[in-house]
Amino acid sequence: MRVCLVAAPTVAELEDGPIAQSTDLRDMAHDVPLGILSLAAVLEQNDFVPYVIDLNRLFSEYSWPEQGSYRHLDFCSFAAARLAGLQFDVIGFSTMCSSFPLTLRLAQEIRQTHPGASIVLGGPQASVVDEATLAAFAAVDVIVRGEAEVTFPRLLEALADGDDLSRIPGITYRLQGKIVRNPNAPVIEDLDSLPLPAYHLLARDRSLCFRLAIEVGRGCPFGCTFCSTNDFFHRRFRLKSPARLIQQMGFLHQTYGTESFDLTHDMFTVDRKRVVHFCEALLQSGYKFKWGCSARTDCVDRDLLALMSRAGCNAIFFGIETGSPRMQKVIQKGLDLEEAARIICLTDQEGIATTVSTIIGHPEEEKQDLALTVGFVLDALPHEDVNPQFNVLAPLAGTPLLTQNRDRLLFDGHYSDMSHQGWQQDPADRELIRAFPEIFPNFYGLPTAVDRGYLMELSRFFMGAERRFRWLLIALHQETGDLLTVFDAWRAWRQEPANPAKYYASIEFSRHFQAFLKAVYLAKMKPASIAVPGLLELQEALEAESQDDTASSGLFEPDEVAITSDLIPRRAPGVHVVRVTTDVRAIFQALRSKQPLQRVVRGPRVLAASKSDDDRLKLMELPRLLADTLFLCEGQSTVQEIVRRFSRRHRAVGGVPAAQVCRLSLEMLRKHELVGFLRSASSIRAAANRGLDSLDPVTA
Amino acid sequence: MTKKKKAAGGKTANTEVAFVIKNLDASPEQREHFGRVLDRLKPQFVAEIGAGVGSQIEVTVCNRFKPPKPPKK
Repeated sequence: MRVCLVAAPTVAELEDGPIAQSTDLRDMAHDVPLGILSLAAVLEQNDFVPYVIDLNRLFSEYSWPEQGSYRHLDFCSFAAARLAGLQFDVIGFSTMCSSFPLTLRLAQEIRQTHPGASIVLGGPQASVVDEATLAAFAAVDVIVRGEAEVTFPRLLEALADGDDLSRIPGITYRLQGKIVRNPNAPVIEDLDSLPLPAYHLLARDRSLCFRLAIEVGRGCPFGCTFCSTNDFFHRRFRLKSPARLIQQMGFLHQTYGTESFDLTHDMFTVDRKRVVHFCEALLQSGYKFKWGCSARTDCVDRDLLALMSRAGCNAIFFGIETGSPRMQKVIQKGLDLEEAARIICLTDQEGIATTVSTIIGHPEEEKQDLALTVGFVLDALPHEDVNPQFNVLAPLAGTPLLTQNRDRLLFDGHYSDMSHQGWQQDPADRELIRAFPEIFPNFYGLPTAVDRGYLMELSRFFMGAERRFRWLLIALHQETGDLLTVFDAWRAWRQEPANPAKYYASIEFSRHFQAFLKAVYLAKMKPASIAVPGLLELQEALEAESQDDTASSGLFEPDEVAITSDLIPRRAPGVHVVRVTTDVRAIFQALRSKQPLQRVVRGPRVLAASKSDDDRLKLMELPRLLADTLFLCEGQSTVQEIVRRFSRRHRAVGGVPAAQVCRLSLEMLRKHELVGFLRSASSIRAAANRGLDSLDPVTA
Repeated sequence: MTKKKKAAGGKTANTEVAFVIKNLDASPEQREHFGRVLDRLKPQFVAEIGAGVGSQIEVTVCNRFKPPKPPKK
């Protein structure tokens, strides 16, 4: 029997090529689809040869700008054409809420091209809307509910033999025009019994495997009202054994060179003892892996965080959800928010990056609750490794939230980013969504005390602003005590954008917001502000400098090559150097310590911003001598010429002659990757004549 | 609280100066002089200011349940 498994796309509807290549989306496209690969590995154990299609990667291929020839097709048609060329008897689609309309349209296309094939759905979305889906979509034959590693092979055998399906637990299917729902299958208690997911089926490029996801367990025992995974995993918390995990991590390291892992589990740290065992075993193994996980702030403590950090943990996802104590109770998350803030701080001190994720737009949420959530996140932002998330609530199928509000669903054109990650909803998807609210409730909204358009705009505003001027947001929050007052004033001032999602992602938003700060905030709301004018000046200078970024990635000499007189220093690509008139370092220090700024020293400063490997900008203040040297590195003059010019302008420092100071500056600039060194044409010729080894190093 | 690895002085700074001096062909006496000069040439960390400054389009995807991209420092 020929089996094709199709992994659901998590990136959808981003038809714009350059955007599809943005770092965040590329990262998502390269995430491995663990569910499908786990199932594929089980099928291989059962002597099937599954073929795996990852729709995320297919989407990445479709969106690549040079593939313009695909653009006469929408993505569904493109993917269907790719699947049409494959031979299979059974096709299994994993499903998730955000791309379920696309999956069902694909299933309908497959029914046309492969009329004899069995079409099976599985995964979190189909599992909870099984009967409604089968009733509405004749193309679908069977839905496997819950964990599929035991059920799906049994289903394949039954389909191959033409057997009765009534004895296979965990499936819903059609029989003589009626929908039959078999009892639930038990969860898989011993996760160690599962094989390593079949990573090899994606023929992964080794360079993409530096960081891989690996499943460490399943099931969360908590009962948050908005969460759908409780139903899928039946709230049965399970973890793989430390020995098994380390064996699998070691295998991936040896096979693909993986050094870093996303430990996939909704709530890794529920069982403290087992996390301790895992960390200790990892430390004893001698591996130096880095890893990230999800946790609740009330399921970690100082000692555990320290141990996790020692064992290589460098990233944790914390679902805080709301900064309002009242709403914590309403949504049954039940976090102590003071403790949560303290844990975020402790996590940061351990050098572990955190995602601080929130959900706004609960039906019971009042504006003061919203203000508390905004405030909670902004209080955490001075920790540089805190990554905020502002999700708008989506009523997911299978959640207590939806059960309580099933009759109140709104289809008002505001989609949660949980449901829809693009800028345009496909019209064909919209038709399906409108027709079947019980199948696609996540695309709907719930009535809220705060206007839903306001919530959507706040989410976009916040995420766009954080990405472009995070510290300005922090300053506005600390000066006003309530960022929503600034946001309200901004909404009253700005022109309503035609496409808010696109607008808040664009540079125009940043420019307009700066204009607003001058015209309204500094003129009327906080004329005495000290931090905001300084940060505004910096922002303007950096943006102007970014536009003027003409540096190219020339072939720099390696760092170990001595800086000889004939080399040509040039500012490294991505390095921005700006002049400001305020002591911005003092402003940042005040914001970090949350102390009001009484005054700030004025005077010229030179700052350099350089992009790190993870795309963040590191801002440094340069001492005058270093800045002077850097300005001389315009990419035309040799070291010798620069030293000469520097010496004409400066005296000896601490008994060290100016020429040597300049050379020390060049070394320091290279150490900080602000400058690289090119070999001049004449030096290449000279080196060829004399042999490279005879070049004289510049000694200080 | 400022983290150790970002501290402007102390161990990090000495390491930084030592690194540069190590690359130099200099006598022990010269190294002492250079160390003092290099101390005055050190850039001072100000802040990390996010990825999107100046870019035309910044797309942020809120990815529930995925740990953040860790810092590379």
